[in-house]
Amino acid sequence: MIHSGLSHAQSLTKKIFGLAVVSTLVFIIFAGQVRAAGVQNMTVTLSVATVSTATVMTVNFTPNAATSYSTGSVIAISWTASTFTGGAALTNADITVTKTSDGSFTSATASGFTATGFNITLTTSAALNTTNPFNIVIGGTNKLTNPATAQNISVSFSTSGGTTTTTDFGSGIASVGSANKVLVTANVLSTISFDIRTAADAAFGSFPAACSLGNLSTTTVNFCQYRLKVATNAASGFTVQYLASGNMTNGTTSLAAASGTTLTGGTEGYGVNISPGTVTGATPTVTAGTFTCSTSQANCNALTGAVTQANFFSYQSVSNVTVYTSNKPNAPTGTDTTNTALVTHAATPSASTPSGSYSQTITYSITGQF
Amino acid sequence: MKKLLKTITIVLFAVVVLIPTTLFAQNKNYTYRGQIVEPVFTVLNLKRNDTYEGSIHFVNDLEIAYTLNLVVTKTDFRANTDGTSKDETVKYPPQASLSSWISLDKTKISVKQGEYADVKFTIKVPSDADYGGKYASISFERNTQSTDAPSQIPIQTRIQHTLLVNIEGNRMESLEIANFKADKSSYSETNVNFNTDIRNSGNVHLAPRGKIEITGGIIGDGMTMIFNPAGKESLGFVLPDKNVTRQFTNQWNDRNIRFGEYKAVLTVEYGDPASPKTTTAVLSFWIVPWRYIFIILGIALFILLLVIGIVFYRHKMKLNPHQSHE
Repeated sequence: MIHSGLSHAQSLTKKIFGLAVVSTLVFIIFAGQVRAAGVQNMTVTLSVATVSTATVMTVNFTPNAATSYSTGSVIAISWTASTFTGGAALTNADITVTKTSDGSFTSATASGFTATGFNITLTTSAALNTTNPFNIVIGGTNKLTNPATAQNISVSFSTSGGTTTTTDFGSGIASVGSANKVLVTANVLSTISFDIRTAADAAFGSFPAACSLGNLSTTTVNFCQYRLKVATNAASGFTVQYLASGNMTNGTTSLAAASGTTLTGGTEGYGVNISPGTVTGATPTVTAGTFTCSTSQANCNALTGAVTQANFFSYQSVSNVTVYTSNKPNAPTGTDTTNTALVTHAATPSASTPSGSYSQTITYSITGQF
Repeated sequence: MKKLLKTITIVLFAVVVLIPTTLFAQNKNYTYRGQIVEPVFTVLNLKRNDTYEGSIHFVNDLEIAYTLNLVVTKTDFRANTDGTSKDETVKYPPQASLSSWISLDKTKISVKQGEYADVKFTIKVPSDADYGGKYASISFERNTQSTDAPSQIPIQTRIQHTLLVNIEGNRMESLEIANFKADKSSYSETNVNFNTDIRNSGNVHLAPRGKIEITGGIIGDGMTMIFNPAGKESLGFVLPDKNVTRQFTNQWNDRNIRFGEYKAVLTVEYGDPASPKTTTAVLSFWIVPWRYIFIILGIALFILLLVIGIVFYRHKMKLNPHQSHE
């Protein structure tokens, strides 16, 4: 019985050991796959799409995993077998690789040409960014030749090497002949997110339904603040527009619009300021919409109290007005008071302002720039 | 050994079952939190009588436990005068109204924190649809109500998915460079901002693509930069409207010393890549590195004065060789 018990225990031990070994192997294998990240923005264009004709292929994609791209990284470009011809006759001189505005990109060398693809070895001064796209032009003195029949051809890349084992990959379609003339559909797989945050870019205790100015006093200028946080990987950036229900009103009387007036305690006025900050990227462009005082800047600067920002204007348009835009992607970090926009509402009544509950509804529309 | 193989088989079976779930979960991790819409765009070529079915993914990834109750709406739009934002005030007849061709599988959604909802849409192009570009938004609207608190400003949000649809037929492609200029005519260093206004007088949206080639100068090379890099990703469109121009910006900024007159040639391609149409514009500007010129002149002046001083001293010593002994 004792012997039998030991045998059973040994068998159980073997099972556990086997399970552990296999689980470890599986983890190692699949952990690598989970870390892999495919790009969603790869495009493939042909200079000439006519069948049996020499063509220059242009491949564009923005890296998805920054650490995959550094000196020694290899980008393997490939296309479906038995489609394009002339691949093996290409040389390094026929390949142009650029990554405009990425100062870490130094050069690239193409090699290993076969009928279905080739490799590009990168030289960089540091890890490349995930903002600026690669532009790979295939075809110089020697070119690829389109297949003899119209078809959609898969062109893909995978990147390996560099400072980590993380890989990056993606694919696109090159349409030859009339294969894509019937119905072309394309979902541009980008994401946009929006949140309203506190002035310090923290989450509100409850999702903010309103910005509250409180009980207005003729001796001070009341204000409330929140932050617009827009993030997108859309290459052309984003647009934020506001739409107001009308003036700040109690139903019968509206507070005077702040634009061109002095917001000082006791002089009736209501205005909004957006401090647009910036966006991530090499050379972002942020426009400030209608942030203009109608008479003089000095009046706008006269706001007293804790708020000293310039350019208060009136939110009163009942059709959409653009107030915050970027023509680049934006990637604010967890707590980010730089790449987000701070909005301040401020108001003060005069002695003759009728009492009552004043209100105004604001709607922000957030969209990717087309 | 058999038992070990049996164990491996069981584990591999479990892995095959579990891995898709893992990848699915990975797919739901977003870098940025908040209300998320993906994809942001649907770009289509359709014909009369075509039907297209698509889907939009909305995620409630707020940091706090809050259920978003949203209304899903659809609206036509055209390009605003800035060329990049939307004018949703337009009213089109049925044959030109993309939003009227769209049906949604749900118009209200309630999404708890950490969860998502997919809204499916179907576009049925009518048989008498107008040809050319048609544009609409599908919005996820959060409407809030005012409370009794004094001086309330309720904040509502509309996060949009944008549809750019071209109805095939009678296609007219026409882009023109309405304006191509640098922000100044001369620079003291290489920090040149190019502004380009593009007008679309055709009837379909077009993404201009091309380059700005800068040449010339006595000292320092020019360069070539990509025009409208978003166009490479099927974005950066100019919507058709002869009264609207869209502005594109390029910046040439580096620390290299340059001197002389430079010429910038903008070449814009558009339309079918197989037979693209091209339009060009040219401008010139000067780079004169005044700071370095003044430094060089200053050094030259110093050397000149030094030489004059030495010559004068020697001449004086020659006239009066015993001066130093006095």
